[in-house]
Amino acid sequence: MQLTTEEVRRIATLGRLELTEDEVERYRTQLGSVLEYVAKLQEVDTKGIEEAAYGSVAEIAALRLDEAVRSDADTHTRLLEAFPSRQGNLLEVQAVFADRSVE
Amino acid sequence: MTDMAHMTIAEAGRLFRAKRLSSRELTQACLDRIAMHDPSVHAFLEISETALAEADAADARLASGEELPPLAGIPLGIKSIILVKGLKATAGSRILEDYQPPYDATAVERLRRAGAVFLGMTNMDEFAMGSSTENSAFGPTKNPWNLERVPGGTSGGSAAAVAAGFVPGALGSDTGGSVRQPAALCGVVGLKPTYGRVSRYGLIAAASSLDNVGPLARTVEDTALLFQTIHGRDPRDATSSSEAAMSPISSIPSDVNGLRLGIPKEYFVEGMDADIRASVMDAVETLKRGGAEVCEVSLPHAEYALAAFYIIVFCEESSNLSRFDGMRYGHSAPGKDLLETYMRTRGEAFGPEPKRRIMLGSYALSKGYYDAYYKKALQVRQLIRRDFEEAFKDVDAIVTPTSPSVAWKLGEKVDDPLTMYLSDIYTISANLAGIPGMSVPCGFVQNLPVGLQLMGRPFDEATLFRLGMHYQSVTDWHLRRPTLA
Repeated sequence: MQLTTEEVRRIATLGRLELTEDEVERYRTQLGSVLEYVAKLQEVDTKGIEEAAYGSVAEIAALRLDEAVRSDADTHTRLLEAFPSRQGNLLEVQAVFADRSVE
Repeated sequence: MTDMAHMTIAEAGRLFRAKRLSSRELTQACLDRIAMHDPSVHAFLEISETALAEADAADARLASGEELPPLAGIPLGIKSIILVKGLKATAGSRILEDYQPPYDATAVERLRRAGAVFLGMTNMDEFAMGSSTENSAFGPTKNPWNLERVPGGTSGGSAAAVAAGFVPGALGSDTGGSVRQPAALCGVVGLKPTYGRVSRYGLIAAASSLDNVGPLARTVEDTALLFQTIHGRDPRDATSSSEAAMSPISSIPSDVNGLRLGIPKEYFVEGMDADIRASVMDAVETLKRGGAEVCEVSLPHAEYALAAFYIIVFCEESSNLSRFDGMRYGHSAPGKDLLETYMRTRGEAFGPEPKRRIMLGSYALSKGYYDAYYKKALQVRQLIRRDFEEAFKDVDAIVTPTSPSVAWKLGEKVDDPLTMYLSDIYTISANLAGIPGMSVPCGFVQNLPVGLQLMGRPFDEATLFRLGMHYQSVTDWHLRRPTLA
């Protein structure tokens, strides 16, 4: 099974990946062979079987109060320093919405 | 006194607490050995500049008369996907090449409190994706038993570091065998605990419902000491279990009398490597002589485990890796708009395996495919869990090889992802079922180590330690050392 060039480009965009021409060509075959292998799951009758979505086999107390916990000053500084773009303590991110009023 | 390079944690700890060996001496010996041999092994990505200061602190605590736990003063290696404050957590990826973690992972915090010394960060497959450590963005690790062979993966750096005598113990992470398989290929012990036993707080997520932090060491006893220190409930990981702590290691019986071992018939089939089969069956005979009873068990859905596993892995990994957006941390390649920034940052900085998996996960989770892939895989996972529940009604542990082959040559499988995936065939089921699994050295084939895998009931790591400690008390595979030129 081989994916088409368009399929590879479509899923690369879904995954937010810019690919070169070479990569598209290589992944077409590689992804195809993996998808072919995992298709064997379709042989299993799973009618009425509940999904095991969680890793834990035991009951876990996942619910807790939604409390904000203050971090120490060192952690705070380190979190800020990890940001690729900032001015002092202001964190810089790209605009999510374009300003169309000026177009 | 044993040669310092191959001293166990238990032995070094006893000498340290008896003030016959300082943590500084031990740490310096590890650093010297790394300086001499790691250029050819490449187990470490970074060596800590504060290791000797941490060793001095442990020595000072002892000198002040403090009663210290077994890991005090012991140098450890930590896989580069587990956060240690002050050391880079790269996850083996260019996208986190210079990432300085803001805090310690819970497992690390517990080791730090116990007085352990953090010697450095170990090499790994990028984002714990692979089976050979060749997917590291910083070059592969070599197997200390044969430098032309892979150490296994994804915790290949941790396994090689322990095998080479660089550190007596290390932490790795295991999503589908990433602690057990490199432990097997490097001739050391590796444990994947029960899901929820060890907090995942501070472990960079790969596939969240399958990820575990696990220890590696040269003996089962040392592995148990590490596990004992890091396990237990942590409110910062919502999936962390409140199950009672393991009873003290000293209370684990030294015999295996009456323990029932199951051999899954679906695993021991034609086509299985004959030499590996012979090593594993020899180990089973040894346990039998110790009083264990052996019978056949059935895991009817074993054949579908790998396909279910990889679908779940692709879906969870592609979701988890969406946090690498070029905004909050790591590599950033700004474009003219948000979409271009995402695509460029990720296109530039992720290696081939994360890219493949992001695409496969995006595909499987996309509209119209969810039921056929992710939902189906989770249903098969349920069936696999039931297989194990059934089997554990009859037996206390299940025995298999850890890996279908010994360490293979570097480059042999690197361009064939599917063949690489098939090397995880014996280890992935424990992750799907959420049960503990441990690899113990059980022989050599072509001068390369073979691993015996023991799987147990949920939260019953103690039985695996019991079997493993007994096995190592009557065999000497774990005492063999690779020769580094």
